Amino acid sequence: MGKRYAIPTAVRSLALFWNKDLFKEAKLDPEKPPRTLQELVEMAKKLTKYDRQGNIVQAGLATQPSGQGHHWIREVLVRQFGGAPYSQDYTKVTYHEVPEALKFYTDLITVHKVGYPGFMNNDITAFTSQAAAMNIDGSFRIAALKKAGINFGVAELPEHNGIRSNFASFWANGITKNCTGEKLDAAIKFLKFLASEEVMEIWLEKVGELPANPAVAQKYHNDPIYGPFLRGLEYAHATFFVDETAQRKVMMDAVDKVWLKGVSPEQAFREAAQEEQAILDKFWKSVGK
Amino acid sequence: MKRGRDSVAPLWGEIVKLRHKKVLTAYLFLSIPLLFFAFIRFYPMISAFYMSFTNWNIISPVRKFVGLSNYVGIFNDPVFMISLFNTLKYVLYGVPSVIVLSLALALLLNNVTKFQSFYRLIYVMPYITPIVATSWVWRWMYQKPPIGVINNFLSFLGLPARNFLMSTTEALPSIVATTVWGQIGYCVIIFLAGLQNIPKEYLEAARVDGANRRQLLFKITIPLLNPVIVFLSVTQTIMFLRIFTQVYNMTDQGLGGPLNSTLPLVLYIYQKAFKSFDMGTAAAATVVLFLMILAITVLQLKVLNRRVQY
Repeated sequence: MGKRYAIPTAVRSLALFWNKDLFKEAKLDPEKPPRTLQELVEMAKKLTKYDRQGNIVQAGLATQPSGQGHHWIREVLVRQFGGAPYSQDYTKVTYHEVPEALKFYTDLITVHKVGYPGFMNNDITAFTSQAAAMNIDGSFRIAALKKAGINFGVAELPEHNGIRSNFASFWANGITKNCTGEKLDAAIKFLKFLASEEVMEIWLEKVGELPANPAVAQKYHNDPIYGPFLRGLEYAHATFFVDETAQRKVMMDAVDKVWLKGVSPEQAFREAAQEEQAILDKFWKSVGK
Repeated sequence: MKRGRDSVAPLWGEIVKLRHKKVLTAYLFLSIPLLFFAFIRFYPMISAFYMSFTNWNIISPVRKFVGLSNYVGIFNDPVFMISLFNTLKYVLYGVPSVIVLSLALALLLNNVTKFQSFYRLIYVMPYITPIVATSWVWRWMYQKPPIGVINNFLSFLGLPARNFLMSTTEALPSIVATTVWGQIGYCVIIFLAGLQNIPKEYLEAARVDGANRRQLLFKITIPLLNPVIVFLSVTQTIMFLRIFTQVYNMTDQGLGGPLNSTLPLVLYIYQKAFKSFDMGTAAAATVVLFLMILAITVLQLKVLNRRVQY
């Protein structure tokens, strides 16, 4: 009790990025981003452009499960459609009980045709090159987008059924137990430096990583760019990943099964839950639970 | 007489000593690469064999001995089986394509007298370019409209866009095509060297006897190129069995997708070892790959290595 093992140095959450120039072009109010999932779909459809053969040349909304998309499905859409992605202690997968969440996501690709995974290589390239009008991404993209000169806005994730949700994660730095003497002193000094207000301000400005110190974060609560991320933290959930690469792949595969193989969202989500449960079981078994 | 013997004996001794010295020096020099191989190749190999019987997560100080359970595990893992079949597909699609195309190009180049070195340079360029770079260039060329060069060309011709890397059926052949394109230059050079070693007299004699071009190719040139074909088939098979860089760079997040359709064995091993930190499973899969390469290579040498003499 009372012992600290590691301290968070930066926090991450998701938000909706929208390209104001492309909104203007589509005769949408550039200062009014979608507030609900329904508005999101409607606006995305208006913002999508196709060539003569029906290929998307401008995506209304980038859909990239391998990017932040899998977090959006898992911790946001699943909850907004009335479910929970996992049991309280994150030992049991439960998202397959709400296949509507996956269906909403894959409908964007197969029914509304506003984007698809891999369009322009990925969502980041698509949004940065102004080939996608909206994207769901983390605050860590802000500096790069500013540098690229994109006229963008940031909004809190659209709500659904009056439910707001977000996905949060954080950087944590710790000191190993074998560290002693001079090295321990140096490590403590460095960790204090990393957790200082000064470094948090730099990290926010140069990258966009959110300050883990609430006193620093408070300053940006109403900032038009950082604010939506910070406010999103108030209702965010952090996933307890045991093997993030493998768990992300499960969600990528679920989406691919639907749009590439025509598998129903129900079946795809059920199979995903089975695969992910096996990953969780293996982990909990290995730590003796 | 006695005097003579006295003078010969030390000289003989000198020679023996010198020979000893030379042999010793040779062994001394040879021992350096031997030591290098022992530590850099054989030691890790043996330790990988051992690792395949343990359960280890890369950071834990304990390596639990688990017997054959890692092997049971991978053969019950559908993803491992998919990667095994994908690896065979890479070999079956890739090796014949490389051999046939590069032999055809080499035969054509062999007839070219002007600018031959210029042509050779052109063909060898993809081979000397880093695979990571060529993979990414091809990844962009395979994109869907509006940015993929190949699809833009198709749409210019009024043809529908292809999914290439985004399709579970087209992705693997697309990666094979990129790899074949990269390997052709090297194989052409080796084939050209082989072609230039075929004595002109054989071909002329056959021509005098009334052999047509088809007969010249299939009865003289190709049989005499057999050692080159064997060499290239073996090395190319090993290369395709170990395919990694192209797949890692051409698929989303380097995962061998979509839906594991391009996942080769080496990428499976990489994911298990350095993403899931399941070193035992990764080592077991490595041993399987090693045995596969060994078996296929021995088989190829047995089947293909027939000496041809005229």
